[in-house]
Amino acid sequence: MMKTSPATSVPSQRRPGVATATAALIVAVSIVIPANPAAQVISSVGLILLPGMILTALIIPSGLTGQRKLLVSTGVGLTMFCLVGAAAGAIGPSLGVGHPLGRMPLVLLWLMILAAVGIIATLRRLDPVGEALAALHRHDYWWITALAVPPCVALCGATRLNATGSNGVAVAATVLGLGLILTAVALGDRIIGAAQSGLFASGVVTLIWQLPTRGGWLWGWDIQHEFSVASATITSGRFPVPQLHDPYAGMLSLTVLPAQLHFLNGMQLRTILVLLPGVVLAGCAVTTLVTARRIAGSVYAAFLVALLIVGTASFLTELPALMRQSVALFMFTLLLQLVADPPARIRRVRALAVVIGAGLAVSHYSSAYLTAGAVLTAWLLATVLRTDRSRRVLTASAATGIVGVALVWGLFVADTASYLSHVAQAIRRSGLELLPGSGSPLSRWLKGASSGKSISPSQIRSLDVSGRAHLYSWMTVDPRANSIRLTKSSTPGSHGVPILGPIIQDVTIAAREAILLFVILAVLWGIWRVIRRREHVEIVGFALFGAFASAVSRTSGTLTLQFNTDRVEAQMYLIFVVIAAYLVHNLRARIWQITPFLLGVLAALQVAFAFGIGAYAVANSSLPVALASTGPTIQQLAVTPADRDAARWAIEFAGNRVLQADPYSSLALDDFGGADRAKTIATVDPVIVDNDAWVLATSANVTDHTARAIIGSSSGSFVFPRGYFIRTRAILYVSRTDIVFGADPS
Amino acid sequence: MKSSAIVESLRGLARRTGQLRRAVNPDIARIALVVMVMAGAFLLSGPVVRLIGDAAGINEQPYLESAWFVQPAASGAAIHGGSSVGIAFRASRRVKVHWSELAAGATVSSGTVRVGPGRSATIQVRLPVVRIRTWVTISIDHLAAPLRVEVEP
Repeated sequence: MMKTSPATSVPSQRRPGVATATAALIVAVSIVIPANPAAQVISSVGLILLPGMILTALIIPSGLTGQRKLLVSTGVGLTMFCLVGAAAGAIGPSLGVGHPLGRMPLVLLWLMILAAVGIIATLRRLDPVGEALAALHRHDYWWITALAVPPCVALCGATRLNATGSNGVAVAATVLGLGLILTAVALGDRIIGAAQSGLFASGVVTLIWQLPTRGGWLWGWDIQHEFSVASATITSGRFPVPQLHDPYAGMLSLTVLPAQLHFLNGMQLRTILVLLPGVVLAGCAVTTLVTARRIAGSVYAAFLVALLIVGTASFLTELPALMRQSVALFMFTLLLQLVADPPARIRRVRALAVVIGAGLAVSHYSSAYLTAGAVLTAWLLATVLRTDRSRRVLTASAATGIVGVALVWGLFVADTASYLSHVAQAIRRSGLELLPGSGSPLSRWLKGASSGKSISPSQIRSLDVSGRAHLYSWMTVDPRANSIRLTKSSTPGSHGVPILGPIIQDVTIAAREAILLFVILAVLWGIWRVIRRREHVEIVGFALFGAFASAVSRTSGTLTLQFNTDRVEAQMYLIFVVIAAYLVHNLRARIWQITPFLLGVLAALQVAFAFGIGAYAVANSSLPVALASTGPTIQQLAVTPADRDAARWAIEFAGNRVLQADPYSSLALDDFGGADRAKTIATVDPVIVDNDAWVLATSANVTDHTARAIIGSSSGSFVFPRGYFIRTRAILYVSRTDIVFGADPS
Repeated sequence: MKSSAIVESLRGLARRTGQLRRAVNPDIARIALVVMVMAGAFLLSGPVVRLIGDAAGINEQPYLESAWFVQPAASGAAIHGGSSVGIAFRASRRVKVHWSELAAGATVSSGTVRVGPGRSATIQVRLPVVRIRTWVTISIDHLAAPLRVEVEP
């Protein structure tokens, strides 16, 4: 693992292709035999990696080595896995196969593909598996096993926190995760690149895997809807999914990918949605690390990735609950790597870039549109500056390929035209509304365009009364509802530390703005280098678009209502890391030398604060989800198994009735198509609950006595009026923490 | 057996395995090794993962109990006096559930039902003839609220 004993390639004495063919055989066996954990791991990795390795070796026979080859192969393999499944799902019915995404058709299809992999490897004497194994020493296997332990501790910690409320193991996992990231930065120049990547990946997965199971079922907003879409794909066994028509259903990362994994290796859908985003996001961080390492060296590369990617709140707390964007961001980092540091044989690299671009387009439409914008800007800049075409990845044909796939898939398969026209209409109607609100320009800049406003129970009531008169005038409401007053609920937050809390708050804001300033400087430096020396033109083109997209999304009140700006920035910061690496590389000799250990500590601190540790010091903050058993964020985004069961029962038996639930409980309904159900209303204020409606109250309502209201861009909470519903309504379903109220007979 | 004897016999086994490996064709030995490792992984991974899960306390099922009306739920409407209602229970472990039926403020019947893990049990409660527009509640131990239905004309 240390640099003094680098892993050297031992020439294989086996016939080339035998190791790859054997691996294909093992994967084939693992998908045929009854499900077991070893077979699930082997088949999940093998089904994606083996075809990806062979295809990558066919496209670029030489030039890609080591980790870059492994990462690119994974991206190509993921793309192929999704596209093959989509093709089977679409063509199957016309060939008389009713459920082409079912177990038998998929097993037959993938046995044929694995046989093809074995045959190609043997005939063409391609042996990517043999080459990868030859680079490993015996002690490397022990390191790999050791690095797999912290993520498992993280899963144990989250499960114990759910079951017992005790956070001891979760705290240990957090310390392990942060320690691994610190070590990856601090020892960056003493260990080999693969070891640094392993430490970093293990740290990232350890931190991320603490979140998705919080609550006991699935944690997060979008992931519930993603579960519902994946579930519908598995039930129908087809793609496109017949009964679904929203953009989610056009994303292969939510449909074909989980359906195939489920049927080929017997993995539960929930397990896939819990584990896969963390692994893919670790891949995203490692790919960026590998790209930046070749520019700025190991220590600074790891520091920059920790600071600008892992150390952003959205990476650790939002993206793990977004399967589609996680996969797309991984593809985006691969595209960036190919553009920033293309291997030899540039024509073939362009073909590879289009393949990766296709993988991105079928994974997440918003990320694909942002990528299309970045690619077009880079191509335009390179064309205007007449840079050497023989060294460019994004020529007209490659750019057309990437942008074309994004547009065709986004508009015709994912059907996002109405979504785009909705955004365009909003801009036409209100303009961009840059830095909305009142106060000084500085305070508005610090606040950003975030239009979310917290409102009191009395404000909720007056807005609901107004909503009742206009939007819900069709409702019949029990007159007694008017006498029920909404009262403020107590949400458990942190106690805080008197002097330290405000200091931490100020330092956090200052650090955020300092990072932003650093990024702006890096982009300006990049532009200067392009003007003076025509260097890094394509990456600067990406960064120009990234700066524009980040600035607009941060400052535009109109766009904030349409997009989650944090997620836009999460993608754009992947570009900024690369440009920042160029800046650091050029300045390193001239700036004050910082010891790797100090950089490691700074990186770990940034990641720790992004993880939410600082909330313990700041009074009334929401405690970090991974470490606390209660708090507003847990109430808002955690779904328990009992909540899931109650929601399933309500959806199943409510039939055509109106079903009402507050936004907390609506999350559980989303698992079973609640988001697409016409007669679902996300409010439980008695003045807008129809007499004939059923009302779902989940654990946040029943146990924590809190209900939430979201009205436009405003939100607030109030005490769940349980007594009123119990007095006036039938009770049709109960568990320890959930109630389904029936109709009000009055 | 003493520990030194165990060590000695293990050494002997390793020696004999080494001799065997040298005696046969290296390719065949390698294939046999791969087959043995894979078979071992496929056979043992399930029990090992379960064992680790038990030791770490992550295999415990959350304790879930729930109950719901079967008959009113189907119609979504209230019921008539004198008729019966069906109630289903589910629990994630074997549990004895007590229930009691109240109408117009008085207990009219009660009972016990045993529910096994992952199974549902159903009871039929014969409702008394009570005044119409009266709530009939069926309380069940440990649950967040009683089941409740209105008797209609």
